[in-house]
Amino acid sequence: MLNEPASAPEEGSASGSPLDGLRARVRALGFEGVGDASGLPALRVGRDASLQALERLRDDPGLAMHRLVDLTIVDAGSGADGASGGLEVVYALHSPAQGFRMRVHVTLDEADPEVDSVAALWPAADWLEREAFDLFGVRFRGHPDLRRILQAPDAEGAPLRKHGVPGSATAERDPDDVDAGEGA
Amino acid sequence: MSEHEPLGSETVPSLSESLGFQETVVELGVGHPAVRRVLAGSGATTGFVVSLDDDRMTAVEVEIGLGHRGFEKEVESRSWREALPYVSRLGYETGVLCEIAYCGAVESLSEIELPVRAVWLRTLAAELSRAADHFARLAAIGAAIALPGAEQAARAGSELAMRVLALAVGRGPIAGFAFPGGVASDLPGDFADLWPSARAALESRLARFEVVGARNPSLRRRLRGVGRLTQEQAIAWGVTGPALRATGMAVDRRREATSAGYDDLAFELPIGEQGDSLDRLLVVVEEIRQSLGLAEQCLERLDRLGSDVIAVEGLERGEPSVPAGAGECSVESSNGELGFYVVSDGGERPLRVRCRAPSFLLAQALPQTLVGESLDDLLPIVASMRLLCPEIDR
Repeated sequence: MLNEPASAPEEGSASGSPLDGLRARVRALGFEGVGDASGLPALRVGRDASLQALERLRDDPGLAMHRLVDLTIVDAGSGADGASGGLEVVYALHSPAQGFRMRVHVTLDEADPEVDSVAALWPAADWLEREAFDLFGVRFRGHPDLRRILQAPDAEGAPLRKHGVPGSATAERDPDDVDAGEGA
Repeated sequence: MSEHEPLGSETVPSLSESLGFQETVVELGVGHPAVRRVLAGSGATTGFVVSLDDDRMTAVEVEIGLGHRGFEKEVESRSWREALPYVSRLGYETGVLCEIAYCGAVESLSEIELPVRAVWLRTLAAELSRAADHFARLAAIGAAIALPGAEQAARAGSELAMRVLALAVGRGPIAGFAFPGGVASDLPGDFADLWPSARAALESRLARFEVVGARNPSLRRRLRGVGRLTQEQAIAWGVTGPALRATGMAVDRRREATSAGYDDLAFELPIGEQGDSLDRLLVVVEEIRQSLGLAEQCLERLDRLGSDVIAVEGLERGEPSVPAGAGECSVESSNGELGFYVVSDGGERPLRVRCRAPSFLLAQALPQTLVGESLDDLLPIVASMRLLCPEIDR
């Protein structure tokens, strides 16, 4: 199940912080460890095992990540060298009992972005996943009611994707030109 | 002669059945005068599609998005600092809190150390903003249950708190006060002299609301047990702020270790027991009192502080230099945890600006509080949960 959780984005070095307990517990669960990019404890897990990994973070008594604070997508677009930075879903979790906060990153396939829904783990994910679907075109497998939420039902494309969704009306639009198509 | 069914047997049809309706669906849309009246102070772009059996709500769909203006896209298409006018328009009374959260996220990513004076000035503005929005919530509850005396007392408190806030930040309600690296202006010289009378006036507005509202038996009867949210539901649905604290859970972003500006300030965290509309109202009433105390403590610290530096040198007008990486900051806004998560590739514009708006999750959780209640209770419950439509729709 958790056979290939890739290593965290950046191995942290803040020793003696209150996060040490979090780090130790996460390692004990078989994850590679908690990275500390810009002071944010973060963990990267493989896409195919994301649901099981998140379930363990929620149910482990030492972590008890009972609150899903936020769920969003980051589209890193293409960097200066033209290479794609990738598309990922970012879960922000909070353990009220332990006082921990952390983020979990799951890299998606840009051409076919799909990941398991966590609405069964945290009901709060329902609308958050609908928003991600609406604005980024990411599909959540097993979501009870995946449809647009902020945009009109007949809206096209995924406005927050840097290069649009392949095959959609926004695919050819200049991503930086937000005023394109608007009246004067 | 037919035999009569005994009264009270299960075969008595509901009103919908006896009138031949399978299901009654009422749309309380954004144009509905009652919805407009209760949500007027917070945007009124949220509608409700309610299924009814007699007057019991059997299902509620909360409709959002009418006010969607592509906030995150707008902000990602501009420089870090040009985002600020969009950010402060995520709220009315809470615009300053939105600015503080956004600036905190940019500062955490850029590793900008804020001058101490700017921290206290921000905290002062945040607490006045919270008091103003809490008063506005109380006014909306008063409007929803048709208690004009309570509504007017709370409305007067909200307006006064906004005037004091405008005085403190030196500009109107959509503030433009905080920016990455500092704040735009210091307190006016006479603010400390005006504060005691301003605080007394705000406290007397609050006392008046307590007399005509919070301690009014008809209000208590009207709200007690209505729109109950259990602690388990609140956690599962991502509910934060007074609605979560009303269930008895003392969770507040200001009490967490990473929360700048509250480290050595003394304040109580009121909690409720039943998680119903009355508990939410009582929590908010007490939080106004606590906010006024916090504002006074900020003033004392500002008075004692020798330094008058309110911004990092070089950032008063310029853009912050933001390295590649991710930063976050979340503050305790008046209705819950308001957070920003920003990602940069080192360029002039943000790669990603994510706003975690408490109202979005409150709106999602609303059916948990509404189903099973009477249609009459919809607006009081919505008012007590305090939806701010600009941050729901973004």
